[in-house]
Amino acid sequence: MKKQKKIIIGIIVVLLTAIGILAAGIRRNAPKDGGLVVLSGGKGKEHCLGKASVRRVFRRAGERQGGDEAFRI
Amino acid sequence: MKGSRLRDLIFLALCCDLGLFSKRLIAPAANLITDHLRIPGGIGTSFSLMFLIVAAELLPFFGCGTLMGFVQSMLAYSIGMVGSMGALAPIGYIVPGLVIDVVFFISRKGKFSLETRTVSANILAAVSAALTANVIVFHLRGPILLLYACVSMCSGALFGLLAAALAKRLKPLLRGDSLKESGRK
Repeated sequence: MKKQKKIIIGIIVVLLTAIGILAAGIRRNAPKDGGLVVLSGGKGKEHCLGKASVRRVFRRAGERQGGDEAFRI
Repeated sequence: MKGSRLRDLIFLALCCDLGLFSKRLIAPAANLITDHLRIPGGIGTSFSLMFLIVAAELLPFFGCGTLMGFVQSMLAYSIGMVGSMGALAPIGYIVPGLVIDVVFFISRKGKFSLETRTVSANILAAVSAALTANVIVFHLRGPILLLYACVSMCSGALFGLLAAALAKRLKPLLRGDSLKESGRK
């Protein structure tokens, strides 16, 4: 049982490390400017839709879904 | 299900409601983290799934999670809390419920501790909910999808530990053992 607890703690630590690395990588590769952004809709998701790091991804997703709103960065 | 008592069913209904509304309750706090990481969610879902895990742990019959997911989706339909998934919202509720059932079915056959059961169930249910939402709504790819999945799994693990603590405390109350003990004293 103690071994199982250690494994759980290990999983949490590995996941936190992965989150840190991925977040840092995304932040570094975030586009600085340019491009038309189309929001993909859904209230409460504005906090991520408008941010630079996911703009590229959501531009594609938003266009595919025929988004609610478009704006230029 | 045949032998389930009224108290058990009331407990299931309570967990359904708590799971559904706690999502809204935790959303402002969860958005602080998801805003910083720039992902569309994952933390609120893990928290709401915690109540399904507690119910599935305390009432061990196959289909408990799926049933609760279905009830939650019907509740969400009736009060218009379908979110960005729209008419496909039941898929987002039923898939994690099914995953919870499968994980508990497998883990009860092996010798796993309570923590291991709840943590593994919450991790897999949270990541399945995140991937379902991604397929239906978000269409994320690459490192952002990986980050979204990692955040869901990590919050799932933490809330799984909380679910284990809750289940430990609630078990004697739900089984009526504490009442017997207090009667003896």
